Amino acid sequence: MSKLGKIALGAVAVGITLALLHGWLNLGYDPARVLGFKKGKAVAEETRFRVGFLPVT
Amino acid sequence: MRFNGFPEIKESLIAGYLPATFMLAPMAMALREQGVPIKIVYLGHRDGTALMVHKGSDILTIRDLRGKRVAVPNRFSNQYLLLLKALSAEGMTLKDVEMVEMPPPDMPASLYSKAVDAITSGEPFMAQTEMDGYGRVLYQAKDIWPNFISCVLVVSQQTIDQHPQWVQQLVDGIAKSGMWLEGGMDHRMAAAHAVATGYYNQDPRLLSFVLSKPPDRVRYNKLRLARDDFQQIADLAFKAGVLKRHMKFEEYADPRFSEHTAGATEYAWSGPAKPQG
Repeated sequence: MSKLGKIALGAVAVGITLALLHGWLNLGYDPARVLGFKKGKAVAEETRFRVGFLPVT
Repeated sequence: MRFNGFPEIKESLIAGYLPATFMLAPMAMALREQGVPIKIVYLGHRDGTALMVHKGSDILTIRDLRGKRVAVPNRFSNQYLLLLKALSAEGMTLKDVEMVEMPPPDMPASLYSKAVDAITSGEPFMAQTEMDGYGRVLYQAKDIWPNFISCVLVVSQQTIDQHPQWVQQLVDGIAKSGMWLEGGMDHRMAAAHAVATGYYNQDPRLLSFVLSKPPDRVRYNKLRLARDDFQQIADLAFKAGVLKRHMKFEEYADPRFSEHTAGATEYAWSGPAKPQG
């Protein structure tokens, strides 16, 4: 592979890594689940859903 | 996602940051009146509100509140309407008291320092003053307004339209949790510990106090949307000037998710799990 090809491949890899990191830190996605390393369960407890509350009963 | 004041919750909801939130019922109605695309889909709890005065205060009856400074969470709160109802029953109006708006977490310190004469909000901030020995209950919500509604679950119309299954899962979860909580004092104590340490960052003894003294201080049953309950809130809110017109139930509520919880059974838990992350 040419030097330019390696640079392009590296840039793509860095881009994917950053996208996964952004998804994980900011959007609530689990990279392991996105990449298929972890299987999801279709139950309510697994839903990532922002719900606001005040600490009052 | 924990907040410390209702105005911040309101702004986050309007901005679309929160697809769903617990908020004060009249505030949700007022937002809907102003055209914000949201709907009330379920209740958070019933009762769970008190009006507290200082232990050594000369306020012994509701009539004694005349000319006193009373802290409420917000003008758009049911506690504000509850006070209106309590005063009306004694032939008084809101003009007979000096009202100040204050975030509920700040209320115990204000009562302790006597910056205000009385405070009213949802628990556990009222019970905190009682447990720490300087607060006295003047009235519990259930004494003035049986089956009192404070916080309701509000969901954005976009979420309802695009992800109705998420909303149903959330509503089902609240219904099942509520039934589990009403399943015995051991359940309430387990929940008090898990919620205080995992979500509220409060002393577990405080939530244990709230959920047990007396056991019906806060109730987690009858959480389905009842048209008559909301009609009462809407009428009082209009009378208090919180709403500018009489609103129809369908304008601010979507009871479909609530009706689906009929026949639901409680969670088969030994106790709620701690939050992840």
